[in-house]
Amino acid sequence: MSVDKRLRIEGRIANHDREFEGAIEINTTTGLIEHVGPKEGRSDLETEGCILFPGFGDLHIHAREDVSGTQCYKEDFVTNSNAAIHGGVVQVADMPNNPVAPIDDEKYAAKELLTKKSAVHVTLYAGIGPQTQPLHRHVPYKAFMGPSVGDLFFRSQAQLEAAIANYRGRNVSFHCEDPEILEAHKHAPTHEQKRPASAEITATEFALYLIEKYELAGKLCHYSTGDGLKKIAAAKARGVRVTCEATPHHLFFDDSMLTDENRLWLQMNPPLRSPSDRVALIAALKSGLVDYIATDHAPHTIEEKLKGVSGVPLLDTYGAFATWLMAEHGFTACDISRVCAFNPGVFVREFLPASLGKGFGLIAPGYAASLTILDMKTPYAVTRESVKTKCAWSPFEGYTFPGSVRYTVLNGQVHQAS
Amino acid sequence: MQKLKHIISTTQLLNRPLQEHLFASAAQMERDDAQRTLARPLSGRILATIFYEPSTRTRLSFEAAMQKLGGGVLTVENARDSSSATKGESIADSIRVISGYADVIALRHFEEGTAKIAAKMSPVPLINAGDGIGEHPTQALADIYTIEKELGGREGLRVALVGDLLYGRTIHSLLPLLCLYPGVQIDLVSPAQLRLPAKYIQHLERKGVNFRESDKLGASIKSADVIYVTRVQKERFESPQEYEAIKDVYLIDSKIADKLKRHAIIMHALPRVNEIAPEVDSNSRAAYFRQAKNALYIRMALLNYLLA
Repeated sequence: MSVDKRLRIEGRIANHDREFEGAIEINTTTGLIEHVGPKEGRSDLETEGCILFPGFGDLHIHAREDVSGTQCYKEDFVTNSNAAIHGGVVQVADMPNNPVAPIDDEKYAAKELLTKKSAVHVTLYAGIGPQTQPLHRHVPYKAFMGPSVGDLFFRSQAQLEAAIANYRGRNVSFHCEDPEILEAHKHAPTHEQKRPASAEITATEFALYLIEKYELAGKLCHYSTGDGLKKIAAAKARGVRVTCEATPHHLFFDDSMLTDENRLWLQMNPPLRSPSDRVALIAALKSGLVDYIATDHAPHTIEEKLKGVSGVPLLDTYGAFATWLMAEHGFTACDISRVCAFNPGVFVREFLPASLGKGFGLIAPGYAASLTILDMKTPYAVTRESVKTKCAWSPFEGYTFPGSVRYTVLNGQVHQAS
Repeated sequence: MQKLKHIISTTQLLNRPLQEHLFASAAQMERDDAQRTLARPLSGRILATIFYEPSTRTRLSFEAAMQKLGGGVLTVENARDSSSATKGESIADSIRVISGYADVIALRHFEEGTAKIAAKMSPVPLINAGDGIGEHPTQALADIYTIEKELGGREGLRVALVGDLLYGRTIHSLLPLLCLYPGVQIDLVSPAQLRLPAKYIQHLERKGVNFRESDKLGASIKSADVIYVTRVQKERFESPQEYEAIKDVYLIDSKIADKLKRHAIIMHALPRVNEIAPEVDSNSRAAYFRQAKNALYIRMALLNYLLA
């Protein structure tokens, strides 16, 4: 008779609702947490100076790989997984704007096969385009309002609504930039002016209208404008089922920090906003109005960035960024657990296989034994050489985060982060 | 596990696999309902809702559940006054006759224990929709479903039960289910004259549950994951003065709601009178309307389980 293997980790534990000293007993055969109890002074991992979080989840990444393989020169599910582990991320949700987009059951299943080589769990969004229909499976969806890769975008609100009408009651995430406002500003001098805040605010109103009208479980992606946040707050207070992401770059950078040297590197959609937008976003993340830190990890090669392609890679720095929020903006460990682990765990729970137990986001019996162990005392100086993403650069190069990821535990398997 | 024929008491629902089956089924029905793709597995079947005590929302919730699954509904709203009960017909006879017309019965009665007696007579599944100060098992199941959905089922949950714990049958039905959570801590907050009956206290002691009784909400505000508020009913007091003196002592207003832990939830089986200020409704911790919606899907899951 084989005996299940055990892993025991003691230390300071931070769930979204409480922080305590304790011990986590893991069954490494099932990959699930079996017991959480008091410390006994015996731990299989050294966690001095660390906080043990439920594994972080990044609900918005672009791993680039699809059956065409044409974008694997900048990232694939293996390198993406390595970058995630390095950043303390145990589960990701991958966007569908691939050259061969997962828009029906067959294409979705084909892309899902490719994710098997990823060590971190990958949930796939299915794409919504002008001509698509819901899958037969229960999956999350993504609707791009403005131009994106492939055919998954809409030219007008009317066209978007006609498509969304087929997705009543589904889980739909929105990229909120109004295509008509973008079109009207396309000749503006800077990237930031080409994609003004008004594009997001108008699109937000429309997305909230669609979410309410079609009873969607809605999510607004990479949120960036302070004025739009007020509309989300009002919708939430009305009981609309809507949640909201914020990216590390919109929380860390604003347009006052742009220089001729960094402008190309810090180009993304939606673009960096004003300092007041950034302050509002940080406050909303802390108050609970913004639900998730999701990176919009968008690996592009250095050559592509120099040509002005939008998007920045951020998986490698996810965990270290959390230590910045704690040190710089007074986030508690519970706050971090909420926006990095618990809420993302709730989002993916209904899409997970049964083998993951109760899923991600809590350190409690029955949940996946996937943990993010942050070292609060060892800083992480970001260098190009240190990152694992295939595109091999980071917008945080040269910056030193106050803390770092010491271990990422995936279903009971320990990965030393550095 | 053997399939249940009737749903009379929460003690029948302590089985985790059954709960998980019903919760998964309710979640699926909620999704299908939002997508407007609900199957109609109970087409041609009939639910009789026999209410000897008024309860508009419980009755409507059962009836909506049945109709959403494609079934039909027979309804007796004020059975105490309008039915053959006024002519002296026994509940046993009523159940026998009605079960000839209906495939399932939801019974609300003013006397504790009636559902159990009725079930013995009933050839069709009978659901206790509240019997006096006894139990209300479908409400309790919906409450647990809400707690799991909002907070994740987990160890060390801290639950404050607030208000009328003496007559509050939703609380009585909920307690055995709460005791299933390892390490659960329960705060019983009530006026002295409305304390939890001794038999439930003994149950908590037998189960080794960590609980404390208090007549003040104070200490629970900062520690609770769940604040479950019940209505303090005027008719439970000997004098109007006594009622007036305590009716608002546990009022949850925005000031209190904002002091709760960020993830904490406020529950109430509704209807509320003035236990929770309307200003709290837009607070993200206000879970009571979601709780009411969850009860619909739990009842759908139960009807489907009993009949399909």
